[in-house]
Amino acid sequence: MAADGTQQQQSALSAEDPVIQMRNAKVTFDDGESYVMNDISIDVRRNEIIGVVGESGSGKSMFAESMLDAIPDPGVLTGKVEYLAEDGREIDVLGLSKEDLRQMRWEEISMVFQGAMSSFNPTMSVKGHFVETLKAHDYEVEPGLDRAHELLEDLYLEPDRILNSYPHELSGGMQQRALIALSLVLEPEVLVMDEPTAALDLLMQRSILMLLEELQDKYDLTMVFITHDLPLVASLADRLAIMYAFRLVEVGPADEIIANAAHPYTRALLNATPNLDAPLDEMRPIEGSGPAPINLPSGCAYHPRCPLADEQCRSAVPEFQQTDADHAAACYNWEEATDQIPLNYEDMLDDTATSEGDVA
Amino acid sequence: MKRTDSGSVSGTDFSFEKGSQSNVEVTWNDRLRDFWEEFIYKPGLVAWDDWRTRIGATITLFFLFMGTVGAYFYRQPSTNQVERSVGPFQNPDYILGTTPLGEDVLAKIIHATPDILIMITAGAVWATGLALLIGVLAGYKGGLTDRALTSMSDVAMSIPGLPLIMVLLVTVQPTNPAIIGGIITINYWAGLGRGLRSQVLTLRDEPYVEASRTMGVGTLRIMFKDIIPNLMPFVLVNFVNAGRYVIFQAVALYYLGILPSTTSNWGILLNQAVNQYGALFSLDGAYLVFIPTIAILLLTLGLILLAQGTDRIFNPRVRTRLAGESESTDEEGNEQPAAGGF
Amino acid sequence: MSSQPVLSLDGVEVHFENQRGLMGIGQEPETVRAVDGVTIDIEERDVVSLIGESGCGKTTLGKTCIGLQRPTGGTVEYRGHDMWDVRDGKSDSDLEWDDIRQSLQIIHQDPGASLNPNRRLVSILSEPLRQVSPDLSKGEKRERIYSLLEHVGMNPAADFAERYPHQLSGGEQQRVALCRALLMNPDVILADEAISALDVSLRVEMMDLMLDLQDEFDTSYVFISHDLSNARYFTEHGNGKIGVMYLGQLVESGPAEQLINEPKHPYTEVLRWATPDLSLEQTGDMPMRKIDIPDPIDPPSGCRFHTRCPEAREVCKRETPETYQINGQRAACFRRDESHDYWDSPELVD
Repeated sequence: MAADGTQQQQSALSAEDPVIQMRNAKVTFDDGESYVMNDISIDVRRNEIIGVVGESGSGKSMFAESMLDAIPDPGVLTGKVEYLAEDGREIDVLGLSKEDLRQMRWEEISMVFQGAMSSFNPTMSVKGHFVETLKAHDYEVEPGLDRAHELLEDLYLEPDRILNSYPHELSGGMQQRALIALSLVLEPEVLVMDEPTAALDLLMQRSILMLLEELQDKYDLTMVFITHDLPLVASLADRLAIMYAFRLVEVGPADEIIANAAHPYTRALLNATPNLDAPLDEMRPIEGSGPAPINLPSGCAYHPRCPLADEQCRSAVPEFQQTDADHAAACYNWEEATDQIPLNYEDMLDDTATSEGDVA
Repeated sequence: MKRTDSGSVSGTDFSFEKGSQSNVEVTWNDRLRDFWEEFIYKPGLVAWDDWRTRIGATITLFFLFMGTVGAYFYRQPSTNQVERSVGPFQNPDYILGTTPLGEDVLAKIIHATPDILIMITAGAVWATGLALLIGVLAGYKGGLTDRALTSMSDVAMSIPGLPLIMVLLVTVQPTNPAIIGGIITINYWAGLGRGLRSQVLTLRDEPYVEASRTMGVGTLRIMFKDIIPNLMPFVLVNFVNAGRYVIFQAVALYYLGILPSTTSNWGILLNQAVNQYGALFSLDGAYLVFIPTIAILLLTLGLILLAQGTDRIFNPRVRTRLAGESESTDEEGNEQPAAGGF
Repeated sequence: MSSQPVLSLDGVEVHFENQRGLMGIGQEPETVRAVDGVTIDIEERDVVSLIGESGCGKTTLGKTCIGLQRPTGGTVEYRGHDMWDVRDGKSDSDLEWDDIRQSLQIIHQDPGASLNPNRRLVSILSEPLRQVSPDLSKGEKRERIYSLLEHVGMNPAADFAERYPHQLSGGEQQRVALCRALLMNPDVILADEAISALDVSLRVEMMDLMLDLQDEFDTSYVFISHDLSNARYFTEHGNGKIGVMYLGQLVESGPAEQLINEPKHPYTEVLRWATPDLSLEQTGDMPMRKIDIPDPIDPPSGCRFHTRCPEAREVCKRETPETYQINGQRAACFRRDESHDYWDSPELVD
């Protein structure tokens, strides 16, 4: 499916083999008075892992929910959201009937939220959850449970022990992994995860990321990973999409964005995130304050905090500009960004590029 | 006042000696204005905002008016003051009609109101006040204090209410409406106290309460400044409900004749209407039963509606929003639902 | 620092008992050894970061440091005097418990829950002044509150002071919590995951602010974090040390850069692996042998990390390592002792 608009300009946002296509997706409350997600157009590519990064209030959760048409009332989702199954079916997600939508969710596109405990029924054993899910979608229970066993083992859990436990008996990390297994038991093609590791600690986070990578490989999944933590998703994701003030501002391959982010916000975000390798003196907080949702700045929402802002930025929202093969940013002045906003870990990047040395 | 993240830290070194750029004067005018705003203006705004509270407050104020100003100015009921047994809405002089003894019905209604109001207030204050004291102490202190107080309220709860009240009333024969109100709610506080205790148990572990403890703030001050204000929605609603309970019980007890008829009360009117005037036997006399009943219903309705809205008075988000002080928004930029919604 | 440490913990244990069985009859109570023998000092104007996974006891240890949790074993000394003796009235110093209580403060993780929603900022911030400087007039108190609010970037202060907590953003609320703690003029502030709930772009700002005000208020920080990068930033800028905890014990401590670049305990190396960074290098498979932490009620024998340690050997199951000192770092691992039996012991195989 070819993308809308000129091929050149939007190649970073489009795909040859997209699995989900979003065009001009918007979420409004109050009858179109204020947007909490504005004009998102992007393709999710088959079998990729795409990380959607944004701070709180950027609209990233809305983005996740839009893919399943799960925006809570009174929000209204407009635009086009299409799911293209592997067998060639094209499904207009927003036009589905309630029953078809229910079927599509979990069978084709599955979602995992933060805080696994609230996704479980505390009065039902884990096995009960699996059985209920299988039955609700008219799948056979026996083969389904076999699949569950396999998934739980892939996630380094003891299947029998976990299946016979109640959710509260498991630790946070185990619950989250059990939830991931549950979301995959119907063999969906796409897994959407909204901050799945946020409530977990360091080792568990890293381990789960590693497991997700293995699962993606083994089961040929497409993954959409929503988070506020850029470094967390950077090594897992193939591509990154950065959101600010309810819009997408940059899309591109993960290593390209880390090495060569084009949008000033992305660069500032990379600089402001404490990480182990950057020299301590060069970590900078982002100047200025986050956008107030009710009263967004005119033009580019980032302009009050951007050192490169000019008249054009203040008057009109920037379109996506191609900055590299498969890399695009919504900024008029992205070319100056590299010089004006140096990344504080550039030395480290140079070292990695030129030698094979340890990054210790 | 928008809710945005403010600017970043000033680069200079900090010292208290430098003083502040803002004006720190606190004049008496400021204090008075603060008091007015916090305790009268803003609660009033919130109360007016919701249609239920608006109606409830109006009705309650109406009765308050009737019981104070009305009782002051309107004539006292007395026998043979006007024509006997006249139906309602027939003569503007005695608009609600008259009793077979020639008393003006409206006068009887009005002059029973002050006592009823006192009774309600006394009962509600006693019930809620004691519940608050015991519930908060037991919940916050825990340990032995908690166990002692909880056992006490368990005993109070298990004593059957109505028989106890009746025994007390018959023995004591009170005429003071405040005392009557207190007796009626003699063990109403126990259930309320338990509810408050469980709320306090939750609040006690809140970070801001722990912060106060860490600062060395005394228990009493923590109770009054940190815990009780956050219990107020629960307390207010139950306060008004206790008042409602008092009316019902009082009317019933007067009707049954357990309370002496020397005080005036609508329940007595009912009693007289049914037993003395035979009002239930003919349609002509039915107004003598309906009118006190409607008065009772109206006041009860007013209190119920008022109770439903009062919990919002203590919600700082609602207060500030209605006073125009701020846009209260949550993380994803969704406006809080408008009043009257959720 | 040659002067006496402000806080000195020696062999501190905090054990919780869970009653089991019907009304506690019939089964032995379970003991959760939240903190199991920790010795650590907090100096004047120090920064001590405690990191580790959940359940390692860092929050419990932090609260024990500032006197909110009474230890079941060991001693906690405030400027050389056992603080719980002072509390019980058995101490021979003339310290009052009130003074100790006021000089140890806390900042919580959730900024929204750490401020009373029914009080305006000026009232919230008057409370500490009321405790430590009760003789100040209302105007003088306001002056201090306003000047501190201005310094942390909340301008105009008079405007902010009249607000309720819900009218502030998360970052602002946390700054108010910091102001409240500082107005007590404390010796030590426990920052319990104080920046974890803030947006990523605000964290550095908050940490800078905390360090900036350290000098004026002459205070030390105990900084609890599950994130090694944040702990590194904070500790190194504060010239302090990081303490790594595992299942109630301190397994390694030392200055930040040293600890991160040259970890002396396998667990610290594992934490480093787990910390996301921007190098995008394939950092290899999971170094720990097991993903899940053992149950704290029944910790492993010998060295507690032996069930997951990539370098574990038979002797680690039987013996508990003592704390070895190697240039300014301390680590509880046999690998630091060249002459230990460890080197002859066979590897542990699962």
